[in-house]
Amino acid sequence: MSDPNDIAATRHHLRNQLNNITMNAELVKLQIQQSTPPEKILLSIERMLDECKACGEFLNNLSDSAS
Amino acid sequence: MQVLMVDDDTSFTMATQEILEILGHQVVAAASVEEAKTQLAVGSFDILLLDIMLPDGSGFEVLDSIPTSRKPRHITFITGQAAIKNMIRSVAGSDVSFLLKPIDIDKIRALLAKVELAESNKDASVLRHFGVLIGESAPMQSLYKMIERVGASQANVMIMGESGSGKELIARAIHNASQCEGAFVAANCGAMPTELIGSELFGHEKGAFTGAASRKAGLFERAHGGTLFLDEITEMPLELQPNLLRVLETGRITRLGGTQEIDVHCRVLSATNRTREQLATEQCLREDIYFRLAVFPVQSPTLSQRREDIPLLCNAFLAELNEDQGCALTIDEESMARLQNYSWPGNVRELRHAIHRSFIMTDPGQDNLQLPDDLSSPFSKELPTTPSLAAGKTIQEMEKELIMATLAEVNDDKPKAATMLGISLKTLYNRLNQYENSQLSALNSNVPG
Repeated sequence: MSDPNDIAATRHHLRNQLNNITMNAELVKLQIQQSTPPEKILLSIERMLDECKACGEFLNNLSDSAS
Repeated sequence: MQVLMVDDDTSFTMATQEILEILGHQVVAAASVEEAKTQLAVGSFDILLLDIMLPDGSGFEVLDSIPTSRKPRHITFITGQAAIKNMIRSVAGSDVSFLLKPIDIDKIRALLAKVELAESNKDASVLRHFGVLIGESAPMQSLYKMIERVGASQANVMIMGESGSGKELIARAIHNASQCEGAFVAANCGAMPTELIGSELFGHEKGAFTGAASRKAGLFERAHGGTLFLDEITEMPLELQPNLLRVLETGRITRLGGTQEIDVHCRVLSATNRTREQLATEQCLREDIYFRLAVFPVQSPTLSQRREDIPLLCNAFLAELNEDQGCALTIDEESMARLQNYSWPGNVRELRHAIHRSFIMTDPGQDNLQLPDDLSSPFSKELPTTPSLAAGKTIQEMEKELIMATLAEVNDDKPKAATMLGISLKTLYNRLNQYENSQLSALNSNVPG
């Protein structure tokens, strides 16, 4: 993957996913400090896990296309 | 605060929305240009968080669609690339900020704090007492009371205070408080050539002297029905002061070369940076003039006497520069603390100069004003400590003070200090050891046994 456009697009994609994981993790931290009901906290964790999963798939596709 | 968040990434929007709500703000989310336009048409927002790439267009389209009356007080672009900041600023204007992905809670908190600070700055910059004076400190409050009282009278006022402390602004405030119909006419007695002072103050008739090509109204005539402000009154030569006294006593002037007396009714405000003691000892102002001019003496407080006003003043000066240059710089807490802790021997004038200098020196693209390492200017440096001659001090105390001041002056270069003091290096070391020992014994005597 030496095309700079591809690198830029990949970086953009991964940065967005990392951003979503970070923001949801920050939210969970705040929710725990605020004694938010567990079901609401779980929703935030679910979103975080979804992002992690999507990120994993993206990386898999990336390595498949590179090989 | 009311926040409008425009982003099509649901996971990010939901998390950010909840975080902002936990932090005490109300958030409305929009996932497209159209949704954002709808929200902006009906709602009023303090902050607009804006993604650049949206499914049906760009964030810039959202910006363009905002009616001026509904423009959010603060616009923040959400982007992953720091490199496009300048490009965005060139399109959207410099009055925008950025949240760079990946975003964390600290960045969110910093943004909110910045907006709140900018808001408080904005509010602060508006309040100008009598249209000109800024400050809420106790010395300023008592000054405002005096201005209000004297404004209602016709008394002449002498404003005393250090250079740069805002004496002319106080004069303007008194003029504004008096609600007179005439003009505010200001002149600096120190800037008038001696031979022209008479002509400047009282005017002249055509041909009164070589070069008097036409009739000219003097400062008193121009200030008729209003206020005449004579700055640096003590710079007026003593021999010319009786002419001024006569006008102050009679309320009548005669133009140079003229024969007719003209009635002039104006309040005369004067200013000097001399202290009362200097006025008495330096004989720069006739006693009879003083009593005519200083019916009501007013003291202009130094900036160091009203340190709590420094943030208000800084923000007001910065707001003016921001408006002039189309910038949105703010002052962070650390810089404000430095500004507040500096001694400002040149008073508000020096502070304004320092803000202006920093404004010019701040790198483009920065959000905060960058202060120079050294705040002082060549003219504002505090004089090196010199021994203060006062009865009651011992010769030893005076000697110690002189030695310490000399060492400070030469950056602790002892051989140089010894030469300057006219003593041998050995004597200097002996004295320093002596001081050290007496300090140690003083400390030991304070230690409980």
